[in-house]
Parts: sequence; C-alpha cells; structure tokens
Amino acid sequence: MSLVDTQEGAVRGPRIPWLVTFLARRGLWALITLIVYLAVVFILIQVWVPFNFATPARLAGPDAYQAALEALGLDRPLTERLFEFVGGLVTFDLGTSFTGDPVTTMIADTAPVTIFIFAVGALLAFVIGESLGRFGAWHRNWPTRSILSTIGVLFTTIFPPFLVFLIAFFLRDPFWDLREAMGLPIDSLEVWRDVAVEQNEVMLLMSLALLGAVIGGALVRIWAHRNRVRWVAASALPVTVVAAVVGVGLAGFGAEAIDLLYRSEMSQTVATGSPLLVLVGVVLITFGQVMFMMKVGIEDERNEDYVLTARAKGLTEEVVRDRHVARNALAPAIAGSFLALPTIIAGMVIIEFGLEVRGLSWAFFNAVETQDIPLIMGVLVVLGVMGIGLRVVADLVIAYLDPRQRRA
Amino acid sequence: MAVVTVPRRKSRRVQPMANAKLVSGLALVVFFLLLILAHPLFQATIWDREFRVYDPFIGYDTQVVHPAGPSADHWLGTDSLGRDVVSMFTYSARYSVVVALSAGLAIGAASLLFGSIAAYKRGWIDSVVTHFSDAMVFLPALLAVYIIGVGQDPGEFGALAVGVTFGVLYGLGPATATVRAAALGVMAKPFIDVARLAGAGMTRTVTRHLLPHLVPHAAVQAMIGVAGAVTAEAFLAFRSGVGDNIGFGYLVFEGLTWGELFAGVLETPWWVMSTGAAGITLLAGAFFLIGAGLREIFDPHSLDPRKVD
Amino acid sequence: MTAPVQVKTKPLVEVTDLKKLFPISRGMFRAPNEFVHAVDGINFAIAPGESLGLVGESGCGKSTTGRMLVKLLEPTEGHIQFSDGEYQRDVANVSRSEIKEFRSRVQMIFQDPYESMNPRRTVFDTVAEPLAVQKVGTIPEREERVLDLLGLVGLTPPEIFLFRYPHELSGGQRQRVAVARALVMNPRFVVADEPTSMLDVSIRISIMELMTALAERLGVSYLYITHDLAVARYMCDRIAVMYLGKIVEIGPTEEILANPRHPYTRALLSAVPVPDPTFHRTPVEIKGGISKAINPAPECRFIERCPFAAEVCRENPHPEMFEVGEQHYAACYRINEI
Repeated sequence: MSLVDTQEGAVRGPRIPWLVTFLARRGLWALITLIVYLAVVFILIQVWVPFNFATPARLAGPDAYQAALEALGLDRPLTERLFEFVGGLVTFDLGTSFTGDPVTTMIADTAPVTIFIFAVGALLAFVIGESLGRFGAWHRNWPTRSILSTIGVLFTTIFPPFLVFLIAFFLRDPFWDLREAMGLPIDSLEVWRDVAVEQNEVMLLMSLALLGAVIGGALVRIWAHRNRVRWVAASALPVTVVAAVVGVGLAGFGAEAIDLLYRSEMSQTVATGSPLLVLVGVVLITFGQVMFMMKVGIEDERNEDYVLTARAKGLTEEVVRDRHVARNALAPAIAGSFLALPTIIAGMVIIEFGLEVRGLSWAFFNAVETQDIPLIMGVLVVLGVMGIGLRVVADLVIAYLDPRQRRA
Repeated sequence: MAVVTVPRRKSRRVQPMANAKLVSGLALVVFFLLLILAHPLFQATIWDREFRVYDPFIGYDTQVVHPAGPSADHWLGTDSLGRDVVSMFTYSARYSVVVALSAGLAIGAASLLFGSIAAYKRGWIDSVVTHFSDAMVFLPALLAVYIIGVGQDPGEFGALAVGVTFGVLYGLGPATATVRAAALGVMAKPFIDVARLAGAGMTRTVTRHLLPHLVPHAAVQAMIGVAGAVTAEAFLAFRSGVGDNIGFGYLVFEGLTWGELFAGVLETPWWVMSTGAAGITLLAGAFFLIGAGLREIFDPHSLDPRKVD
Repeated sequence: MTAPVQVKTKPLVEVTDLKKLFPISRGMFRAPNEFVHAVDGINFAIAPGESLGLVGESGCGKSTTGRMLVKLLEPTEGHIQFSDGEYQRDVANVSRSEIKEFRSRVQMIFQDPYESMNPRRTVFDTVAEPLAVQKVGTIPEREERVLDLLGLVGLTPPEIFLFRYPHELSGGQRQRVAVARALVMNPRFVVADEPTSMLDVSIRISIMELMTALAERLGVSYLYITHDLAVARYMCDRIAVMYLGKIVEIGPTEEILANPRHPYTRALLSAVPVPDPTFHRTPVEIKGGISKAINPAPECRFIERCPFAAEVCRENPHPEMFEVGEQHYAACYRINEI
C-alpha cells in the first residue's frame, strides 16, 4: 500500500497531489469524449436515421411522407435542430417526448433502476470475474481451466433474449417464492399504499447506501492494510455492505426495498419485473469478459522476474498470486474490460426489457418503436454519461493500483 | 554462382494448431459452412419436394400436430406453423454467416485504416482518431444497428447491410483503440526508423512495415466484434421478424412468442427456441474462440494499456 | 558562439550550434515552458574518410545528435552542413522533397540488432529496401548487389542468407546485415549508434574490424556513438566527449586518452580497466548520478558532480571551448589549474 506516496519526486515548484491533476486531466478527457459522443448520437439520430423513421410513410405517397417528417420534427433545418439539442443539453433539458411528457422527467423516472443494476451488476461481475480469472489462470490443471473457459465463452456469447428466457424459466418461480417467504403481499400496490415516499427515492436511497458502503469499506480496508490489522481488512467490505442493508431496513424502508428488488410481473398493478433477476443476467454476460482479461493479465505477469523473487523470499503461493501478480494484472484487466462495454450495455438493455423492468431500456425500446426521437436521444445521452462516468472512476482505480498511470 | 537450394519461406515458430481455442473455433466455422451446404443437399435428396413439406417458409407436414417435438421425420421438430426446424435452421445459417463475415471484414478494415494512420501521423490526426474511438466505445453498436434497422424493409437492410453497419460502428470504437495502441508500439521499433532511413514514405512504411504487424490485432478485434454482430442481426430479426431473412433470431422469437402465448396451456416448443439460440451462441462463440486463440498466439500483451505510449 | 573546431580539409559534415529541446508538457492550456535540453548547442566537423567517436553516458544526448544528423529527428536550432562534391546542403533545413535524395547519402546502424530488422521481412527485403525506394536497378540487379554486399560483410556463402528471416540469424549475423543495408546505397556518411554494445564480447571485435575495413575500402565517414572509450579508441580518429547536451572535450583520440583535460573525461578514463597489474592511476572522484537537463541554470553543466568546482563555475554560464592542444579543445574554466 506504500505505492501511493512514491510519486512526484522530481517535480519543481509546489507539489500538487497527483489526485488533483489526475482528476483535472480525466475530467477534460471526459468532457471532450462526451462532446464527441453527443455529436455521434446527433448525427446517428438526426442525419442518418430520418431516412428510416419516415420510411414507412413513404409508401403512402409524398404528402404522407411530408406529414410524417413534420410530425417527427425532421422537416426543420438541421442547424435549428442542432441548436435546440445543444441548448437543451446546457440547460439539462432534453426536450419533450412525443407522448407530451418532458424527456428529463421520463428518464428521471426510469433511470434509477437501470443505474442501480448497471453499477451493482458491473461491480459484482468484476469481483466474480476477477477471482475466477485469478483462480483459473493460476491453476494450470486442465479441467478447472477448460470448464471455466467454456462457461465464460457460453455466457459471453449467449443470445440475450435466450438468456432472458432461461432466467424467466428457471429463476422466476424461486424468486417469487422468496418474495412470498418474506411475507410481502402479492400486489406491490399494497406495499406502497401508505408510504409517503416515491419508489425512485427508495431506489436512490438503496443505491447511495450501497455506494457509501463500498467506498467506506474500501477506505477502511486500505487503512487496515496500512496498519496491518488483518481481520479488519478481511471483513471491512462485507461488514459495511451488511450495515448498509440493515441501515435501509432500520430507516423504515425494508419492505419497500425488498419489494423493489423482488418485483414480479404477476403484480399487475405496478407491473414491473424484478431488478434482481436483471442483475443476475448482467453479471452472467459480463463476468466472462472480465475473467478472460484477468487470465490474460495473470499469464503475462506470472513469468516476470519479480514473481520468482517473491517465491524465493518464501512467500506462500496465495500471497504471490494475490499481492504480487494479481495486483499488477488488475489494471490491464480493468482497462481491457472497458472495451467490452458496448456489448455489456447492449446486453443489459435487452435483458432489462425482456424481464419487463421499467428502466431506461423500457423507455428506449418504446421510444424506438414509436419513433419518439427526443426520447431515443435522451436515453442515449444518459447511457453515454453513465459509461463515461464509470470510465473515469475505473481510471482512478487503475491509477491507484499502478502509479505509472497517474501521469498518463 | 554456386547452386544452393534456397528455402524461400520457413515455418513460423508459432504453431496455431496447438491452440485448443483456435482449433475448436475453426471446427465450429467449418460446421456452419457444412450447415449451409446441407440445406440444398437435403432438399435434393432426403426431403420430400412434391409437397414442399420441408420448405423453410411454407412447409407444413399434415401427418403430425404442430408444434411437434423431435422425431425421425423432423429431427429438431416443427414450429407452431408446421415448418421443419432443421430446414429453417440450415436455411437461416447462410444469413448469419454473411453477417458474421461482412462485419468481420468491416471491423478489420476500419480499425486497420484508422489505427495505422493515427499511429503513423500522430499529432492532431491521432488525437481526433483517439477521441473519436474513445467516444464510440460508449455507443453500443447493437443498439445503433437496431435504431437504424428497426423501421426498415429487410430487403433494403439485409444481412450484408447489418453486418457492414455493425462492423463500421464497432470497428471505429474498441477495435480502432486496440489497433492504434498496437501500432504505437510498432512505430516505436527501430526497424521503422530503418525504413525511414531507406527513404520509405508513408505508403510504403504503413503497408510494408506497419500493417503486417497489426493484422493479427485487427483479426482478434474482428473476431470478438463478430460475436456482437451475429447477436445484433439475430436481435433485429427477432424484433422485426419479417421478410425473407429468417435469421437464427427469428427461431428464438418464434419459440418465445409461442411459449408466452400458451404458457401453461401447451408445452413450450423449447426445441425451436433452443435451436436458434444454440446456433447464435455457437456461431458467435466460434468467432470469439478464434479471436481468443489468435490473441494467445500472436500477442498476449495486446490489451496491456501500459504498452501504449 | 562560433565554431572553433575545424579540420584542415573541407569537412564532409559540419555541425554548428545544433540544439534539440524536448518539451515537457505540463499544464493543460499553457504552452510547455519546460524543456529537456537534450542537445544544447554543439559544434563539430567530420572530414571525408574520418571517423569521430561521440562518447558519453546514457542520457547525455549522443543518440539524439546521431538521429538529428540522419534527419530522424528535426533539430530545434542550428545547422548541419553536408558537403559531398556537388551535393551541398544544410541538412537541418532540407525540404521534404529533397529528403529522399539525402537519404541515399547517409545511413545509420542501430544498437539493437533484434529490433532493427522487421521480423516479417527477409534479409533481401531489408537490405534492398533503399534500392527499391530509390528505384535503382531491376530485381535481378538488386539481388546481385545484395549478394555482393552480403559477401562483403562476411556472410558467406551469401546465397543461403538471402531469403532468411531475422529470427533465423544470430545477433552478429544480424548486425552484419545491418552494415550491408547501411552500405547498399554507397553512402558517404554513416552514423553508428553503439552497434556493438548488445553483442557478445566475442563477436564485437569482428564487427568493429569489419566496419573499419569497409570504411577504408569504401571511403565512408563514421560518427561512432558509444559509451565505451576502449571501443572509441579502436574505431575513431578523433573523440568528442558529451555531457548533458554539451560537448565538453574534443580532440584526436590518442591525445585525449593520453592527456585528458576536462575533469569529466578524466573520470571516464579512470573507469576504464587497464590490463596491467602494475599500473596505478590516481582515481578521479565524481559525485552522484547524471541528472536531467531540464531548463538548466546558467552555470557549468558539470558543476554538481565536479570535484574541482569553484565560484567561477557557478557564476558564469557553461564555458566555451578552450584550445588546449593541437586540434584539442576542452570546455572548463579551470583548465589551467587542474
């Protein structure tokens, strides 16, 4: 853990902590990337797609086609649409959906679930994939390796709608039973009848509690490692996560939180599926990618001289693997996993839609099928912001692990 | 001059056939090529032609109740409309393979072009390419293809168009980022200086010295991306499900719809859906395995960000 | 600063006030205000057929100098006058269209024989590449030329090497191929950047012999970059010692070795082992390690490590070259006191 303080030796002038300069640089990077991304989205939707969105109307004759263009707002000059888009972004206003509601509200209603699933799912998938990859790469006997590889390839390349079917077929009933076992009524509406808060607020509370737990746990872990309090280091993360869960329960939202997670499409009145099932799906399609990256990383590192040195010092295999090799393999694994992000986001959106969770993808698919251009763009904007934000966080983790990256 | 027999080429030290992933991926691709051949072959030999029982679009076997499970006449059963699943499956294989190949070529071409030029030119061209590919990483090509294709006539936006569109969108993102990183590593090698000293200009340096080292990286990216393209096409066929293109996705769609509509009333025709899903997963998996195998053979460091700059 | 270092005949290469600054980008919107002064105003000249050794420890700017002379790097400032009969050019400012012609007159041999050959191309492809680029001869003629050269550099019989790949050659063989490639266009001037430092000791001497023999036979001038004074002594007529982007001493090889005047040269010499157990030499102490020349202060570059440093060295900018013997110059204020 002493790696943190070994930077910035030769710099003249006042010492700025690496974190500040790093965040400034990554912030600028994120801004530029976001602008380019938004430009791509604008071109995709406003320039490329209109041929298609208005295409069905073309068959009905030129008048109908013109009417369709007007209805979609595509008859206005491109510059006008561009100014509207940019102006809207600056004021956090994404326009009005064709349903009449502001896009911002529609996204605010649907995004929390998706963000929760994405964040928790990515984190879980990373933890699982990282440990499996570490395990698989270190143990060279072929049954372990090939079984892990096969499972990884199968889930990475699975057709997401089919995964939806598998989850619904095998997991829906057990989840349903679990919900019943916790004493919740079948109809979600009954749970929320006398509750003053919005569902999204509970979702937000859960997300924040979990986020706080993970960050707090990580900080305690670092502190414990520095001071060599082993049992604290080992138990820090689980304890804080459990504390967060208990905390949400004590705050009086236990039943509501469980209801949110264990939704069943059978509760017709609220009519949404279970985010937890989507979470399982996201983890399944993601962990394989991380596992491969980790395996590649470990196999690169394991033949380096420092591994030999570590063994020669008499360290146990676990310590060599976890403290020396895995730590160095982790940064490339995180960076490599990011290249799989488009596949993962696409998969998540499909699974979420398939399991009837009213998240961003529900908004997205409805928008595409009703040609609701402002809403499509709004969803893509939010997905991009989420991805870029996650990337900055991941870069921070990489920089923490690998001092060489702090100036990159 | 003494007569000496000169071997013009010696075998590389790399032995691709020793890599289990590559071999199994190639075997799967061969299997799909055989599937494509199987359809006309079966049509000409063992399938009844008079009543078109095995036609992938209008076939109907009056002898059994549909959907029927696997039997001697229908190895993978029939779907709800009475069509033979083996026939649909072998027929649709050609579309999925066309998507895979066109996407793979598009990814390779886009990433090689932009990756090599960015690394050779550096400067503002490099930063434009880098920022662009950074941004494209966050745009899921599958969703973009879906947006572009959903309202279209499958005749206009067929397998080839899906493959190329997906390939270009994916190729400009993660693939270009990876190839550019590899190209920077090659550009730092002294033999590039040697080529410049020989007076080689941009065209020569790029084609003779840079590209040969980048092709393996681009191939790996193409293979990984192809898995996504197959899924994208299947999803498009799955969501719109009309016209001539009965991709693998359509089989899944058929099975799922039937299962949803008659859940609990009739037995779900799992064979329809599973055949389609197995086809997609195997085809995507084949290319994924080839990609992973190539990566192991050519350069285990290809994704190492520390090798960049 | 004028160029005090002259040779009697019209020099083949004459370097005047050559500078190369590398910006350290720090700060996002500001223009870079810190530079590594890799090469900071150096002067020397090389006569036709002569070889000059450029000696110094790693990071002193000697490779940067070599790369500027063959235009792999653009100089920040200064002139490189290249005079080969009719061909008179200031290479530092040669235009892009003229660079191809210049490339046929100078070549470079690199340190790493493993990395300087494209692993996907045969020996013939590598050696004949300049011919192909300059469109000299037909393919059979090029093959003939390459075979001649391979024989000349001692790869015999040349036929069996012609279509081999780099991984089928040993390090020494590759460096011979590199020499052949450098000589294929009959250049007048070759920059050799530590061509033997990565070879086994047993092979070094044969490569060095090959290079000197070919230089005499073909009338090639070398700029021989090395950190090893023993190698420089074997290869070079004159030696220039570099420290932190500056030439601190330059003169005929034997004169420098017998009578080093700059404290840094003395220190380098004291580090060379002498195969004579009765030989004793007063060791010269230098302190610390080499630092980076980032926006250097106006004082003697060597001051941090110099055992003879005095006020005069700190108060004045880096010293000019003082003549200390015939064709022998050193840059030190206290040259007469030490």
